[in-house]
Amino acid sequence: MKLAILYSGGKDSNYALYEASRKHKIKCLISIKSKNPYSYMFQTNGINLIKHQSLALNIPLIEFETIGKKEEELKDLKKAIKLAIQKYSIEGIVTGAINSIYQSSRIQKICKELNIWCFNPLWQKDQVEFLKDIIKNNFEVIIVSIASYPLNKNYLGRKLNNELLDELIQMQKKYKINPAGEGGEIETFVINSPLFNYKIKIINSNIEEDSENSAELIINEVKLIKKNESINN
Amino acid sequence: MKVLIINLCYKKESLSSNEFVKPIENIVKKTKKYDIIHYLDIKKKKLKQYNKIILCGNALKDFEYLNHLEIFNFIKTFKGDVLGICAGAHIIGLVYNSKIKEGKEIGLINIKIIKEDIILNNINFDQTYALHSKYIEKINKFEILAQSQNYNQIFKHKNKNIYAILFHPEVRNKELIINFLKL
Repeated sequence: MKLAILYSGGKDSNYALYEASRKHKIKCLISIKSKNPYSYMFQTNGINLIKHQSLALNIPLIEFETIGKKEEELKDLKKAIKLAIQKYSIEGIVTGAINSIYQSSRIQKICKELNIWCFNPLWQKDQVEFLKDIIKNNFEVIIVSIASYPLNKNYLGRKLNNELLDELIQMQKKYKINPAGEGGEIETFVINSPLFNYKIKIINSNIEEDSENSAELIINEVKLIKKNESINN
Repeated sequence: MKVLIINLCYKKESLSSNEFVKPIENIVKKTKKYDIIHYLDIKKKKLKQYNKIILCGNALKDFEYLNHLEIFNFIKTFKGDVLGICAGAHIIGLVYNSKIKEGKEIGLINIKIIKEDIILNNINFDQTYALHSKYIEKINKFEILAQSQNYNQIFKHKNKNIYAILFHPEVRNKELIINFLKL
C-alpha cells in the first residue's frame, strides 16, 4: 500500500514512519506549518527544518501553511492530503498519535471523508516503553521545546538517552508530566534515525525563554553530513 | 486456561494490528496467559484450551472480515466467555442473524448505562472512544446494557457471557476489559 505520513520532524512521526516503512511504501511526508504557536493539532517548533529531514530520508515533502485557527487547520490538512493523493496516489495516512483523541479522531474523520486508510502504529503505546524503543533503535532525538515544571532551558538540545529517560521517569512519578511529552511538555527534533541517509548537524541555534519552565531551542542553520562523520566536527 | 485474542485486521501483519490488537494484548498480559491469532488461522479444534475470547476491532476502512463470516460460527457453541469490540461486535451480531447498518461515530462519545452488569462495575464513562462506521440495531437473544445518543453500545447475551461492544474500551475504559478477564 502507498502511504503518506503526517510529519512534524519530532520523535513520534519519525518512529511511526519507521514502523510503517517496514510494511508499506512511504511516498511522501506531509507537513503543516501552523502560524499559531499554540496549535492543538500540529507541532510548530522545528517545522522549518523538515525540508532537511526530507532530504536526509530521501522522501518527497508536501508542505502546507495554515493560519492555525481551530477548524481551519483541518481544512488545510485535508487539502494537503488531497494533494498527496493526486501527486503520489497514496491510499492511506500514517500518524504518530499515541494518546491524543483530539488529534487522531480529526485525522480519522478526514481519512473517512476521503475514503483512504488511516494508520496509527503508536496508538496507546506505553510512553516509557516507547522512549526505550527509540533509544534501542538508535534514533538521535533532541529536545527543542519545554513547557512544564520542572523542565527548564538546560534541557534544550539534550539528546534522548538512558540518562535523560531516567530523569523523565522521575519527573513523571513526582510531577505527573508525560515523559514522552504528548501533552506538550516537551517537543523534539530528530537529527538521525535508521531511515536517514544523512544525519543533521546543527550549525547555529539560540534559546528563546518565555519563562523559567517554558523555552525553545530555535535552530537557525543546519547541514546534512555523512552518517559516519562526527557531529562535533 | 488462556485467553485468545483474535486479530480481525485484513491480514495478519497489517500495520493496524499495532493500533487495535497491541493495546488489548497490553491489558491482557498483565494478568492472564494468552495467545494472539489472526482470524483466518482459527482452527476450531484448538479453541478448547481457551476460556475467554476477545475479538478486536480494526481500521475504519477494513471490512474484509465480512467475507469470512462462516469462520465465526464457533461463537455460538464456544463454552467460555466472549468479548467483541467494534468489528468484533459486528461479527457477534451477524453470527446471531442481526444486521449491521451504516452509521458512524468517531471520537469521544457519552455513554448511558441502561442495565447494570458485572463488567460495568467501577468504570468511569466520562470519556469513551468510538471509531466505527457501522452499527448494530439489535441482536436476537441479547439485551442492551448501554447506549450513546445515537446507537446501542453494549449488548450482552441473555444466558451466556457474550458481550458485543461498539466503542473501544481499550482506549479510555480499560477497566471494562479487566472486568471481563475476571469473569
